[in-house]
Formats: sequence, structure tokens, C-alpha cells
Amino acid sequence: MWTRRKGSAPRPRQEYLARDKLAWLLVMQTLLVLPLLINLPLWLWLVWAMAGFWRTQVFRGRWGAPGGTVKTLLTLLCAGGLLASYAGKTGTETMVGLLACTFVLKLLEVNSARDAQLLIFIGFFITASQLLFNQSPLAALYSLGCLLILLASWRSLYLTSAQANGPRLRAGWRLLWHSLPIMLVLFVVIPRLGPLWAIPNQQAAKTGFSDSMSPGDFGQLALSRAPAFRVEFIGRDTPPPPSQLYWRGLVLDSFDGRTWRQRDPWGIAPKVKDEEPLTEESVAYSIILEPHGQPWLFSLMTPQSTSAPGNYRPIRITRDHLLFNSVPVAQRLRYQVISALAFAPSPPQALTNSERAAYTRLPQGSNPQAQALAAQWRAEGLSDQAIIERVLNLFNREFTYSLQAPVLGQHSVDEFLFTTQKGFCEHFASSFSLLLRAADIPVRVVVGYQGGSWNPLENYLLVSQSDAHAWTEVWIEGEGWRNIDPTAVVAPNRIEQGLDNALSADEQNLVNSNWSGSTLLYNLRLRWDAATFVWQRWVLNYDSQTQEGLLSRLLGGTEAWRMTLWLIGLGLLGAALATWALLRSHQSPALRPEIRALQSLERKLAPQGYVREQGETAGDFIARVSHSEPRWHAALSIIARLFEQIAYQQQPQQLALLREKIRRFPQA
Amino acid sequence: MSIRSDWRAAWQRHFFRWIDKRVPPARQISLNRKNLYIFPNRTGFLYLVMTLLIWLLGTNYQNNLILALCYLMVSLFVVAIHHTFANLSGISVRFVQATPAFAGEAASFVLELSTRNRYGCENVEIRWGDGEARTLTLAPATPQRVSLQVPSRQRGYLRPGRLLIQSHFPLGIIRCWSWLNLEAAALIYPAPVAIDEPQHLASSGREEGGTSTRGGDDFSGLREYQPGDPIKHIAWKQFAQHKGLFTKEYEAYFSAEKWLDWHNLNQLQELRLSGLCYWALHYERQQIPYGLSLPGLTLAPALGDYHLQAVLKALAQFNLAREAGYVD
Repeated sequence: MWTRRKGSAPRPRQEYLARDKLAWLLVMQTLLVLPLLINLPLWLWLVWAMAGFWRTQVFRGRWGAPGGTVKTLLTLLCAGGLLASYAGKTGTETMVGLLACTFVLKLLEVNSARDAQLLIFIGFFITASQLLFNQSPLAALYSLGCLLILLASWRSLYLTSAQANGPRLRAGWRLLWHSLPIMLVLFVVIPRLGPLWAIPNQQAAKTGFSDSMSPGDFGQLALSRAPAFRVEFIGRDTPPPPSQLYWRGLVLDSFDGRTWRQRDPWGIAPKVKDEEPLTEESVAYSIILEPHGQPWLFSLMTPQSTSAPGNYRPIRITRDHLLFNSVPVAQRLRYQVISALAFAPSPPQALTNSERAAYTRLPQGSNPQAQALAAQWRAEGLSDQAIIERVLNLFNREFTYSLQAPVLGQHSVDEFLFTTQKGFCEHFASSFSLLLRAADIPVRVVVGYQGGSWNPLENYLLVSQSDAHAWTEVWIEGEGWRNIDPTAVVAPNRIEQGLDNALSADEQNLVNSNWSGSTLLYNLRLRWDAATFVWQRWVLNYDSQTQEGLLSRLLGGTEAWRMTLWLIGLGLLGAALATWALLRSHQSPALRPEIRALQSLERKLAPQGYVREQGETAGDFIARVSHSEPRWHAALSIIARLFEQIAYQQQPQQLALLREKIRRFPQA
Repeated sequence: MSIRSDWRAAWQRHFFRWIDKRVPPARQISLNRKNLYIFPNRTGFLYLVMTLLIWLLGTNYQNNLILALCYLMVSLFVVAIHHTFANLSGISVRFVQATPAFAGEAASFVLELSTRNRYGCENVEIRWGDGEARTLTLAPATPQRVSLQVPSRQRGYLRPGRLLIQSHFPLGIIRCWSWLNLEAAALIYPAPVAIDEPQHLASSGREEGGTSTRGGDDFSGLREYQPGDPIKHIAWKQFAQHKGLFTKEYEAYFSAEKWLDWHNLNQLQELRLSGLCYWALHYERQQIPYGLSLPGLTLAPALGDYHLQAVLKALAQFNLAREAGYVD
């Protein structure tokens, strides 16, 4: 008892988490991990369900916490699973899988505040990974909700008093709400850098067409409403006419009897020189391309120059007037193009012999009927122009446009031309090209999109997957490549008004779901897409160029001195606001209501020269005033009695009366 | 003691000297921006590293939403500074009293904390130097008393040094703290040490023969019961014999009272004081009146808590010339 004690007392440790804190963590984790699991292998779902169940059982006191052996076993199992799912891949998904695995397993052994803190930190990464997979406004909103729960449960970790869920959520919201303005300023002002090192290609969802075209490919695309890209025309509020809206993606110039392919997919020679001088009819536009997992980009004929701010490697323009990105487009990409809509008037160089051979090459023995037909025309001594017209006439007379084309066999063009006579763009493009090639006219198939729907709310063109199209380009001697769309002959509506108008009522139902006829829903869809466009343009593709534009518009310039002045000004303003808010919300003394009521009486008496002294009680003060002002005696004594009843006799119901008396003072 | 902790101690001394000039000692101190210090803690730096990693992720993937998340984390850090500060700012700490203790025991200091903060204060940790730490929650407009134990080493006045008050609330990444220089001291009595009973020269000392006085040990007779007489002195035997209610009277002689006389001991000063303390406690327990005689101070023999405390206080304060005892 009286021996000397050495050293300091041990600090109390918050070793075990209270149950309410744990419950918040559980909810937080579930919310955060749910959208990720969609992109992750199935076994992670099982691990998650198991960990969640076990944790809940521990929480309810039914089961014990997992021991060291179990934990090691689980870790090994998950490591094996990760290895099996992602072996050899070092991409984003591996990272996210590892992260999600850690997050889920960590839950099993969260005991102390320190563990929980770590879980919270991983939570931020999990939120970031959510945004890696989906960047739609809804996804962003969901992530914001996740952050709210994250903050509320983070703050809960350090609570020392019991608090209901509502106040916890509100406090979390307060943290988030106070941070958002600073975040916005940082988002607008902080300069953007390019990627610091090359990142492994993300396995993007490959939508759209592939680098080949076989019968039936486009029918599937036509059913998809997914957006392909959105185009904003610079300096004009209306789009060019539909007949000019051919978004070229890829040139297919090699035919094996059934499938059209790129002859030499990676031998894309860069454009030799700016052959075509810019004509007066050029158009500048900016495209936000949805990631399609392919390197090619889309542009109108013929792209003259292109730029993609924030894209750290330039976009190439090939000899075929195509745009190619240096890597497959895994992220939404924004680029600008200036295209000449009309061909240059000067006659281009003639095709070399090898080029001519390549553009007229056909596999031996394929589609014999079609080849014979073309040979017969050629024998009749028809000119190139006449042959083209004859094919188009043929299509116009005897063919119908339909998405439900019959399945075609090995000699697909023969079957189409002479048997089924029913098909859509790729059938027409394919058979047209074959006939022309058989007649020794250089021709190539172009795939891309045609048209798009104009959104007047934000003045942009939405091009969907259902606008996917195939057409041909024919070499006309002395003129160069010319755009000829055989589908336009059969179904001019397809070109002029889009897919929906080219189809019969039956097929429209195939393409659209039942409700698409409603005007209201159409307008809603228009609005939603406009919102998506604004989101993409201002949030997802906010880059250094947009930044500079916005800043110079807001601040009147982007010189260093101007920026500095604005920053200092904003900083001072922010600091002042923050201080004011703090002083107002936290430092206002919590006064009892009757004292506050009495203060208003003091304010009324102060002009008459009666000021409550330091240390003078309310009773003394009222007695002093009523002593020297007998006319107020009655009113003041009532007030004094009421005040005492409330303050000292626990009669808070008199408060209203006291306020009323003070308000009506000096009447009794 | 490692070099690091040496360095730390030196730095703290320097720091305390600096804040002494800024914040003079007082019985009541309110926390505000003059005496609150704020800095990220280790978790805070880890948080910043996380923010940097997320920035890298966002930059490398050219993902504006992830960059926005990174900026949100940065602004959360800034906001956390404000919130942590606001949690402590507006607290006032008042020293109420300290209970005395024997040297080597812990003295407890009673503090009253209140806050002007509308939301109250969460997770406020207070601690005297190396004493015990307490974590409290302050409700708005409700003062709260805490008593903190501080170990004592030697008799005299125990000044517990600076009071650390700190909080990491709400996010645990920012530490806000203050070292309060409270005017607080506890009286520490000498530790009781059993030594030989001080030889008292009672009979030879003062009044010869010894005059009897009431309240002693020896039974001297019966008298009629008067209201207020102690029950244990009632003569139950006579009462049982139906002779009436009587009170037994006792007599004490001066010769029976003890003197705690400094001069009759020949140990070192501190051991003498400890011995006197031991015997004072012993006599008090035995209900033997005792007086205290120190150089320059004499307390007449008596009994009771008040007397005991006066004696112990005299022992505690003996020869404390170098330090003025300004607090009781």
C-alpha cells in the first residue's frame, strides 16, 4: 500500500468494438462490396456470404471468432482462388479482386478500433474501384451514398456515447456536406496530368462490331439500344443531313466467300500527306466515344485533323481515312475531328496495280452464280457506271429490307441474291461489293454507324449500337473513292429517318420494347440521355483543355497572377465562412430557455438605463428596477414569479406565459 | 530511456516553457484557439498516403470520378481539422478540489468540465502527466465532475503538472490537444512508518498529580442518564435491574494522553515525520488523545477527524520553506 509505484499507469485500450459500431461496419461493407461483386468471379460471392454470415453469428453470440488455423486456411483458399481466376493477368480486375478479398476477409477478424480503421481505409479503395467499373451518374450517386455510410461508420468508431442511428447519419452527412465545396473547387482548379505509367489494358466490355463481317452480325447490334458515341458539332446547332452522317469505323477489303475482313489489320500505313486540301464544306465535331475495346475510332469522311486532349498518344489518320487510337479504347474517350464532307475536287492519284488487284480480289469458286452474273454484264460491254446502276436497280426491284433475314450457308451471296432476297445492310453491302468485284470494279466494304438521333436539349447527336451500318466505297476512275450505300436504294427510310422507320410494324416491335411508343417516355429518355451527355462532358471528360476554357471564362483569364489572386481570395472567403459557421454552430452557449426569455427583457430595459450588473441575480435585478419604477411593479413581479417557477420549481409549462408577459411588457 | 525518449522529454520541457508564457496557471481554463494545438496523428498520415494512392489510381486511369474521390478525401482532411478543433474548443476545465493522500498513494484531483458546444463533446481524453487517463463524453450545458488519480512520491504539496486534454474525434486522423496549467495541488501527508513509540514525558511534563477530566478510559462512577449520552456508556446492568437509566462515567488523566513530540525522536527528519504520522493514526484508532509538538508549533491533545487532519497537515507542511503552500 505504501510502496512506491514506478512508471505510469497503463493507458486504457479500446480493444473490443461495441456492437453498434460493428453493425455499422457490416452495413457499410455490404453496400460497398455489392456493385463490385457483379464484376468479380462467383467464388468471391461465396466467400463474402460466408464471412458475412460468420460475422453475424459472432455478432449474435452464437459462434466463436475464427481461430488462427481457420484464418490461415481461408487466406490460402482465397489466394488459390485469386490465382485460378486471374492467373497471368495483372490488370485492374486482379487488383480489385485482391482488394475485395482483403476487404471481405478482414471483416472476419475486426476486433479493435485499429482493425476497423483499416477496414474503413480499404473502404475508400473499394469506392474507387466501383468508379472504375461504372461512371454513370447513378453509379456516382451510389458511390456518394456509400461514402456517406462510410463516414458515418467511421465517425461512429470514435464515439464514446450512445447515439441513435439518425444522428450518426446526420453527423456523417455534415462531414460530407462540409467537404463537398472544397472538393468542387479542387476538381475545377487542380491541373490534370497524363497517366504516370502505362497501365495494363482493362478488359473492357467489347460492344459494337468486330473487325470482320459475316452474315447476321449486324442483326444482333440492331437490337441494342446501347449508346456508341455522342457527337457535338462545333459551331452549328443542327446536324448535317443524314445522307452525310456516315460514321466510318473500319474498311473491310478482303473477302473469303462468306466473311469480309481487314486485309492487313495492323499494316495501317499512316497518311502520306495531306492530299486533299480542305474544302469549304468541312465540319468540326467532338465525339465522346463509349469504350468498345477496339483501337478504331469513328469519323465522317474525310478526317483532316484530329486531337484528343488528355490522351497521351496521338490519334493516327490512315491512308484509308480512318482514325486509329494507339491502344484499344478501354476508357471513355473524347476526341475532336475536322472532316471534309466533300471530296477534294482535284483528281486523286490512280490506284496502283497491286491496290487494284487487292480491291478486286475474290476467292476462286465462291458464289459462282453471282460471279457469272457479273461476268455476263461485263461481257455486255457495260461501263462501270452502268454496272453499278444495274445492281442498284436489281436491289430496288426485288429485295426487301428486314432484320429477320434467313440464315445463309456457304455461298451466302448467291443464296441472298437468288433465293432469300431479304436482308439488311450487311447483306446488301456484301453482295454489292461481290458483284462489283466480279465485274472488276475496285470496291471495299466500310463498317461503322449511320445517322444517329438528335437531342435538341443539349444539341448533340446520339449514335446507338442500333445505328450500326455497313456500306461500300467504289473506286470511280478519275474521281476517287465514292460512297455508295446499296441499302439506301432498298430502304431509303433507313438512311433518312433511322432504323425504326425502315422496318415493318412487326419488326419495330422486335427492336423496341412495348413502351417506346409513348411520347412521355420518349421525352424522358431524351432528357436522361441529355443529362448523361452533360455528365460525360463536364465531369467524366473534364480535362486540362476544358479546365482552361472554363477557368478563363470564369476568372477572365488563366495567367498565373490572376489565378493566384483568385485562389487567395477564394481561400480567404472559405476560411471566413468556415470560421463563421464554426462560431455560429458550436460556440453559441446553450442557454436555458427562460434565461433567453429574460435576456429579451434585459434588452427592453437597457434603453431606460437599467442594465443588469455583473453578478446580479435576475431576482435582484427585477426588484431593483421595480423599486425605482413603480409603474412597472405589477408586470415585473409577475415576470419574476414566473421566472422563479420555471427556473427553480421545475414548472417548464409556464415558459409560454413568461415569454408572453415579456413580449407585452410593460403591460401587466 | 532511449535517445528518442530523451529527445522527446527535452523537447517537451522546451515546449512547456514556451506555453507557460502564453497560458498562465489558473484555477479555471477555457479551451480556445490560444491554447489548443492541432496536428495530424499517425493514422492521419496513413490517410494522406491512401489519398495519394487514390490520386495515382485516378490519374493513371484518367478517371475523373476517382480523382474527385481523391479531392473529397483531401477536403475531408481539412474538414476533420475543423471538426476536431470544434470538438474541444469551448470546453472549460475547473479545478474543484484535491483529496489529501499519504506519500506513495495516489491523490485524487476533482475537476469539473463543461462545454459550450451545441453538440457536446465526444471522446475527450484527460490525463495528468503520467497519471491515469480518463475518456469522457460531455453533454451540452451539463457540467461533469471527474476525479483523477495522481501518484504521489513525497510529503508536501503535490502539483500534478500539466493536464493533458486531447481528442481525435470525429475521424481519428487529427489530434487536437492542450496542456493546461491548472492551479491545483494536493496535500500529501508523510507515509506512516512504524517506529518506536515516542517516549512521552507526560507525568513529569505539565500539571503535577494529574487532574481528572471526563472522557478518559477509567471507570469512575455512575450518574443519571442525560439525553445525548453515548449508548455504549449506558449502564445496562443497572437498567436490567430496574434501578433506572444511568450512564457510566469514565475518567481520563493527563498522564493517559500522548504527546507526539518531535524532540523526543532522534531519527532523520523525514523518518521522524513518518513515525509521528504513524503514531497519530495509531492513537486516533485507539481513541487515545494525542498532542503534537513540533519546533514552532504545538497542538493540544485531542481526538477526532478534525484534530487528526490538523496534525497530519502540520506534519505534511513541516519545513516546506522552499515552497509556499498556496492551496489547501
